[in-house]
Amino acid sequence: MGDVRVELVRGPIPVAQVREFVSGDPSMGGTVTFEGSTRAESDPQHGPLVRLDYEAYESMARRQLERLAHEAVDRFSAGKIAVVHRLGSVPVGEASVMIAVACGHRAKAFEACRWLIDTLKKDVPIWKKDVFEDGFVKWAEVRNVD
Amino acid sequence: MISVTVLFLGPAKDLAKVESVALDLRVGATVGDARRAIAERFPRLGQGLSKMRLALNQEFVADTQVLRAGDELAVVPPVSGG
Repeated sequence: MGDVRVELVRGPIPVAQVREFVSGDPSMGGTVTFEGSTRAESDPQHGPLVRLDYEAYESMARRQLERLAHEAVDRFSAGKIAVVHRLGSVPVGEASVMIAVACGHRAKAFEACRWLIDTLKKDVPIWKKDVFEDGFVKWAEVRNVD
Repeated sequence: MISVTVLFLGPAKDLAKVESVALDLRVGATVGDARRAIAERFPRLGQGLSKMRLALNQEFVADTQVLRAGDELAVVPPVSGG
């Protein structure tokens, strides 16, 4: 049991397709999806944040995501899991990452989704830069915020 | 001697000012030896290097791992995906 889809995309995440991928098995009673988006922020010196620019060590990132998805299938008895991360520019309000998990029951689906996003943020080689309205660009600080 | 390819990723690329270099090491050299050689050759990476993980052929490995000719060793600074 278990089927995973992992993708790095440039351009908007195909949200409907990702949800579609994990649906369709009537024995899966709980589906949880998570989307993480560029949050509006403001810097006193450089003004509003306009976008995040993502880059990855792509071959390794894909491999790591696949491994995590398969591990999540085993740990949480998931039926299907999709993990999609966007690379390149992600404007404020748009999604940079989407995770969808279908499990037999809701508790495991929530747990698996949470574990996947937390582990992705620690172990998958992807980085982002903050880009502000005045043109100022800096690597995002690594923070541990839930 | 063996030669391995070192990749600098994300913020490490800006500090090293290069994307990749060939690094010559003695036969039997470990990932830890490579880390020391990288620190010497790229002092701008500085103390940050101690917080960066090294990935050997796209897998995180311990510094005790022995390198082979042609390996790809990536300098992976703390990640910020998601």
